[in-house]
Amino acid sequence: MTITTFDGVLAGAQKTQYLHFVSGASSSTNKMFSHWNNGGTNNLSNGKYDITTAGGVVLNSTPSLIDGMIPHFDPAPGKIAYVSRFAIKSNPGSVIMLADRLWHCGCTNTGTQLSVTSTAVQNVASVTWPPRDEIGSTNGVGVFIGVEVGSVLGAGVPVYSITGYDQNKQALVNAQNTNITITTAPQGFFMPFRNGANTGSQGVSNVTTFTGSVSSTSGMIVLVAYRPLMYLSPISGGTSITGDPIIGGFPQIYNGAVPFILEFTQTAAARSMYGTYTETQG
Amino acid sequence: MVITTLEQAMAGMQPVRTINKGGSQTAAAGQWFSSFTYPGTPDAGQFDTTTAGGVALVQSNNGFSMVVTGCIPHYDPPSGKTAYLANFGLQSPADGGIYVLADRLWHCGANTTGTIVTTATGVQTIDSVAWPARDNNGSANGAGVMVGVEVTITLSAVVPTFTITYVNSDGVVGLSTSNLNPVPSGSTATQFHPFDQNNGDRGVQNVTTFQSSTSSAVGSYGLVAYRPIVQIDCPAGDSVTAGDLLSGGFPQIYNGACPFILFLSLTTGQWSPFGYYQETWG
Repeated sequence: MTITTFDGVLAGAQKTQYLHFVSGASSSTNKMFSHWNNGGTNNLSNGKYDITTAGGVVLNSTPSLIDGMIPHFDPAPGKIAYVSRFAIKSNPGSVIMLADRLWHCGCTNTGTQLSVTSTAVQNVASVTWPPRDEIGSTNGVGVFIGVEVGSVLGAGVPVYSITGYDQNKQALVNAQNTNITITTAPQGFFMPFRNGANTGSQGVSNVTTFTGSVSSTSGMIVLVAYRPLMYLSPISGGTSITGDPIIGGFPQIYNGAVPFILEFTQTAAARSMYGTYTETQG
Repeated sequence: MVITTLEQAMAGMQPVRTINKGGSQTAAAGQWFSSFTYPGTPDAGQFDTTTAGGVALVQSNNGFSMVVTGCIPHYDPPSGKTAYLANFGLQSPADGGIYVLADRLWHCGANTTGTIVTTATGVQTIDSVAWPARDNNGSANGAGVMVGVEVTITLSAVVPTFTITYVNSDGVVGLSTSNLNPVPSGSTATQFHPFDQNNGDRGVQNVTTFQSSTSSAVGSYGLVAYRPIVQIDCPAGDSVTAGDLLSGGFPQIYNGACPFILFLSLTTGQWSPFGYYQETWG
């Protein structure tokens, strides 16, 4: 069933999940950060990074919650889950993105950790995404890729590139990180890729290779496939406007979803965060 | 159908679209900027400089393929349904400013004999093709349609006045007007110079000629016809500006729409087009 009335939203309301992320490494001006590895309350143990599984790891919360995710529980068969309320107190000026983390991968197709010093092409050969793109398929409609810093990088400001295919099985073109790297990028620093200039590229279906233009000297990175679900707009002081079924856009949450938070910062500040997350089912 | 209740709006929510134009861009006080050619998400748009009469811009829903790179993805709703803007938000620049979400109807980098010549000071004939039927009334007459000059390659250190002759939305021919805001010396790529309209005009239906008062030895520019959809005002500092169903005015988004962003900077500084766009259908 789908929920089409406010009465339906109320009738299906689930337990509110309280979120408190402890402060991670400080942010930087006009950069994106992931809160996957920022531990906190309510099952928000520090998210893990896999650097050994060839093809990467499909993330699926149906069997059990995964460290780092905002708690989501699949509805009973025949019902559909939605985000009915989401509110965050964050840093002044930040834009908050709630996203579904579909996959991450910290190694090549032979199981060797992705090198942050090599400038050679590294084969990735991602496994198939879980069926949680915009239309509930594995095609990758609306799916983005980003580089997440798993442990602080050394000196160097590389441009990252990926090859792969979009949702229409066209090769990605000029798929480079949109937000530039910074030297000694801290843990959690996140660099989304543009999906390329191909007409019609509206999402990524798989990643074939990964390349860094210069060495970062040291550190660890992973590739992440994610789909934006909702945005929040903090007002002065970092208090968000609450995302209700209207302002929040009432996104459907597919079974197995792994919600996490990306933050696009305006200023450099510590990254503690407080808020609540509520789903409704119907 | 039309949406007349909040519940209908909630039930028709579409997946949210990400806007991430690569972090900081340099703005100049009192100047408009267009995000169309910035790389990022959506990726850099291409300005046509060869098609006499210019190009009418239409995005279509063809297997999640869009035909206008550079515009925020819009898919037409199923037959019988109408699309509306539900949510739109962008990170405020530190110094404040104004964002305008607009429907890009047409652009033209060519006169009737070739590319628009930036060194010429004579009249260049444009004779624009008909706009797509997306004016304020869903027609091609041009009600609510404005025209501007978009700089695609930085100009010489000159201060030109741009002039067009045009037909207004009531069909009155032979009208003439010049740019609203003074063009700064060495106008940089992505700067945007809207044209004024004559008293009583309600929009532009056709551009007949274009003329620059001063030669620019280098650079490139073209003409854009656009219809403002919503304006959101950004306070200086640490806020994010958003328009929801009510505060955004709930504008209809016509089939084929090509949404893009114009920004008016209040001071010289940085702006970061990072935010979101969401439609609802019903």
